[in-house]
Amino acid sequence: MDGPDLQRQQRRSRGPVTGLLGHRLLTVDRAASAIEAEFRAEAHFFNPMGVMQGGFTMAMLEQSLLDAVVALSDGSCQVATLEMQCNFLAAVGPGVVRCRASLVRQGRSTAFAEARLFESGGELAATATSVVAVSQRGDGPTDG
Amino acid sequence: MSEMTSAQAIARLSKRPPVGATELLGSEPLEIDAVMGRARIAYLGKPEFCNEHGHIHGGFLSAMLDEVMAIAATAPRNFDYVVPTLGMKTSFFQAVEPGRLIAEGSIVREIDEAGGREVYLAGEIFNAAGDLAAAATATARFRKLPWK
Repeated sequence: MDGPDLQRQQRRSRGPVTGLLGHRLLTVDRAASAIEAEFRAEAHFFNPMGVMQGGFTMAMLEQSLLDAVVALSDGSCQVATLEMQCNFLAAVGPGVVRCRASLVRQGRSTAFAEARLFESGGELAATATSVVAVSQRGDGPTDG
Repeated sequence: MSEMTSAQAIARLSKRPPVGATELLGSEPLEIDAVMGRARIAYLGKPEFCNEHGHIHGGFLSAMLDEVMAIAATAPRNFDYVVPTLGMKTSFFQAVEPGRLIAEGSIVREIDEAGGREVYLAGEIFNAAGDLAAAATATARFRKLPWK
């Protein structure tokens, strides 16, 4: 995707939650059917072990999975996660987290996506897959 | 097995060092069954957790579910353990408006064998009207508290 398209996707409204997550869309790679985004792992996401609570790891992965579906389809569909599965491979400490998400298959009303999350040291820390409902704008009551 | 009442379990839980995620989510324990390994916690779905449609981001529902399941898992062990999650799946049934949400977590099965101490967990979260909004299952492993 060239600059103006990437900028359009970066500017797309995602709501206040992306500010809390420190979300920034970095790349949209149509050839690889993948996007990259970064997030900030901060102390308010941490569990009693002093590392990121798994649910917030899932929040970052889910946002990336939805970004992949929207950016790699026509860029204007409405999306809602139906289900998401995540495996936690390593602890995520504070710092900038990177996610790489790809669109595995896009049907007319359903998309399947997968994503990987790398902690600030670059280690693979979590993997995820999701099933996403897709509708064109004004097509139905689905939600992001 | 713990003989704690719900009130005793909640008091013990509240003595743990402050946790960022717990504070962010507005976690308020309502009932803890330390014998069966069950917990019911109220959470605050805040406006800053919302997506572009004004609905609570699914990841934040996962975070609430992850926490209520962890509390259910550790209650029978007097909260002397942590339970790093190995895998978790969340199903989202409907969009959730900001407000007070109730989550329930329970132990499905514990495996305590040489070389492994896994626990299988289930969780559900209900919107302000009491409708089931999302459900999760998780697999976790018991670990002694790092500060004990």
